[in-house]
Amino acid sequence: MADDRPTTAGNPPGHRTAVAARVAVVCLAALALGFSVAHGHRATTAETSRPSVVDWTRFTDQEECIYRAIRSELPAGATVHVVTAVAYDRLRLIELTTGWAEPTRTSAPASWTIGIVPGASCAGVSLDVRRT
Amino acid sequence: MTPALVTVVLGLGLAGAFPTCVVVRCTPVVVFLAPLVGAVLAAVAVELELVLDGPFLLWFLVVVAAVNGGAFCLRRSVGGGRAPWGTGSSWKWFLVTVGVLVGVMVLPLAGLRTPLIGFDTNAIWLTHTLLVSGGHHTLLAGMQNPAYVTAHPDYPPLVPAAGALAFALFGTGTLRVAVEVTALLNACAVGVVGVGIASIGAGGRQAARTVALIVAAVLCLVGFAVAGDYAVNGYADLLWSAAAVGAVVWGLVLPRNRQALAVAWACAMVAGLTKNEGLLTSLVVLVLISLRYVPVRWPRPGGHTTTATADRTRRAEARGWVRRAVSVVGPALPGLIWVGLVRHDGISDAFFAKTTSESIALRARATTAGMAVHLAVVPVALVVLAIGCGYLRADRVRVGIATPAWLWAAWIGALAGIAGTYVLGSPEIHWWLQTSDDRTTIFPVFLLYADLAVWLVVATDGLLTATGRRSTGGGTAAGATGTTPAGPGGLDAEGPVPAATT
Repeated sequence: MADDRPTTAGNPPGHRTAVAARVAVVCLAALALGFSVAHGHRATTAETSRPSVVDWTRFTDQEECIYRAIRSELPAGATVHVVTAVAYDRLRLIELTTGWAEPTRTSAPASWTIGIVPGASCAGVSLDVRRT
Repeated sequence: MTPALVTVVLGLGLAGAFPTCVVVRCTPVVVFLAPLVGAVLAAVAVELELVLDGPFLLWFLVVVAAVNGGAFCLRRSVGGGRAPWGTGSSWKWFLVTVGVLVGVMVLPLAGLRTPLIGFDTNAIWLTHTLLVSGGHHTLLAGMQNPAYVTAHPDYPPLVPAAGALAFALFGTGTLRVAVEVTALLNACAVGVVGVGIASIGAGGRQAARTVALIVAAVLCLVGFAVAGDYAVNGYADLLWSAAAVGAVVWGLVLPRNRQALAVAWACAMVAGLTKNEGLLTSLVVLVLISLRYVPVRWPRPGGHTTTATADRTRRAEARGWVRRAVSVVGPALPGLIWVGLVRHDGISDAFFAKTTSESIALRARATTAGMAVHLAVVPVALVVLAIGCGYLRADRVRVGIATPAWLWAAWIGALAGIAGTYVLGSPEIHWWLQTSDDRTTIFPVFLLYADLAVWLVVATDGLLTATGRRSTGGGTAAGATGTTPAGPGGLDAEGPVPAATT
């Protein structure tokens, strides 16, 4: 309670408590923000590491190659059914056919089937296109 | 990277610059807000594309012309005395604020050097972007095609619209440009939050302003840190979250004035047009903003002495509720229109399409446990809140910002809305949480970091003021420098809110 008495420096009552509270808020907030920034820096470092760049560049090249292959091997407006064992590949192929062909949910109405198979044409994979 | 920059700065930024300047004036926030306003215009163009025939680019140009024309008329009607380029802060401070915030965000944006593409970016956002790029028939047929059900065709159109503009300008040869546009829009939304924090010190002495700017810069880095890879891999979660935090900071923390309200509404529009949970959160924030700007005055018992007085009071109350309703529905309208359009076209939200066999209690327990993992900042924020409310209230009042109750009400309301979606939705809860709770908690976490940043600026300002009082022999910093607490970016000082604003 000593800090509630006027001091010789002329500070108002409660001055020391208020200063201590402000310092505590500054320290706690700065620490929390600082830890978060450090965490973010680690994430950016991991994203931009050499192996990450190589892997993701290969993935993107693969995707753009398949995108071009769809447009060169399928007629525009074709109805296609995606046949692939990997769910993510199915979603990617539906995405990459969008705007060029019309994906179907079942094989019955489709004139073509497409899939991703191991190969050399698109950085380790190839687009498999078949007429039904 | 250049095509994405050109799309965001010239395509979206130029489209939104004039309307933003007319309403907000040329303060630093315009640099970050204009591309977001441009993206809102692009999203409205997608709504028109869905309803009417024609390509996306045509509708974008129509909407941009209409809104810029409207802004020109608005500027003429208010007269030349309120020039949009009349600044509340000096050009030097404008450039320093923008330079520092853009400069720090270059660091996390370095992640764009790696061509990251997220799962949802492929499955949802790039698919939607290609649908929007294809024109009315492709968009409508695609949204109704059952093959696209996993792409969540009901998701709002802002991110696909911005990507489609990039495709319209640079072609679809490189799909990655759309991912980069989303990352740059994320940065813009985080920048709006940063300028809001920086403006807390705008009315004080140079040291307080500098501290506020440094804290704002750190908070921008925190925004990217909270989102992690999602900030640069094409996901839309940081965009809606940061926009919603921007709406809270400008609408529920900074002093009440027209410009802050306009920024908050624009941010709410962005959040509502980016994701479904963004619309839910923006509605919560808009309700709180309406209550702050048009306060509810509860009648005192026995306060009305005559029937005429009671009638006048009732009419005033009714007008107040109309104003509140308009100020909630107005900014949310583009998002609500999208919801109406997709329902009209027979598209339903996949998360509520089926019934679940899991009990509400089980889902609630799983949701609480799953979300709590990501809310580690809550204890620190609560301790700071307790200390701040106990000892720093006078500092907060001197700086001129609102009580923290508004921010925390937004936090609780939005968190309850998101948790309620998990509890009442239909997907298997553990899978659903595992694949999304790190993204749906970006908003509540970033909002609490913003609260910490606000308290940090307030406490530092208090320390600087106390030091100033000791050295000058009394008086506050504001009093010593002859300034009064000013609004954001050196805008109007807080006072009675003009009726026209709400």
